[in-house]
Amino acid sequence: MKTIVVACGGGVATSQTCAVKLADLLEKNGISPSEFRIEAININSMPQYEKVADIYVSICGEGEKEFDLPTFNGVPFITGMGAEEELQKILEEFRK
Amino acid sequence: METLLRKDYIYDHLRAKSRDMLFEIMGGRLEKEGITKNSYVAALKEREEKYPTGLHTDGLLIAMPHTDSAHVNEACISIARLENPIPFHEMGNKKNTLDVEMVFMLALKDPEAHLKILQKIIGMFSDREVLKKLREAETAEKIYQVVYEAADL
Repeated sequence: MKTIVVACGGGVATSQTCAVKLADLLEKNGISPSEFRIEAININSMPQYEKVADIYVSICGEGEKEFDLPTFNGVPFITGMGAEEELQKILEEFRK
Repeated sequence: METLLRKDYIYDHLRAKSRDMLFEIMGGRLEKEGITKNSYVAALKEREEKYPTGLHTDGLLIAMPHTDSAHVNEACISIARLENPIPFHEMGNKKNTLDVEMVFMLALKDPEAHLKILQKIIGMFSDREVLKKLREAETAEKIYQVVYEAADL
């Protein structure tokens, strides 16, 4: 079981939407729902998740604090632009 | 749920000289009419500065400014088609500026309660067909129809 956290400034609208989409894409790529847990959080809660999460999907972008986790961009899952490419990177990390 | 999207707060050909002015026009009206608290516009500006919301979608440059529900009295989505594009920083990439053509201003009171609709609305931003319809929607009435159908309200 791997934990993926998706964080944005509010922890609701954007990160939730991104999390739902990513979960759906992971399943479509043959990853069973029992293999992962995905959480949408407020960026301020990130320090609590840093130790327990395996993968961090950020919607906050550059200039924000970096965390000691493999980090990916969540924005492509909102716009669809570049989503396939970012998904492949996440899948690669997930299967490690 | 029909109150979330209100025709009264949809604008076609909205004119504003800057992002701040746009927030004052759209958000200021929400404040004045009690939809939000008087702290909404200031909070919106601050949040946009810190976590920009410009989105480069496949067919339309969009921004979805929003802020903490503490500044909101009633949930409402205000939409504006801009007469002239207004620069916003890109979500996830502050260094990049997008000339935004359409704005979805979210005033959320209890986001959990509206999560499904919110997801459908944000889902529109990755749906090429819907984006095309939004681009072609010239009047507030048409914008309302496109969003109403796409969000399956």
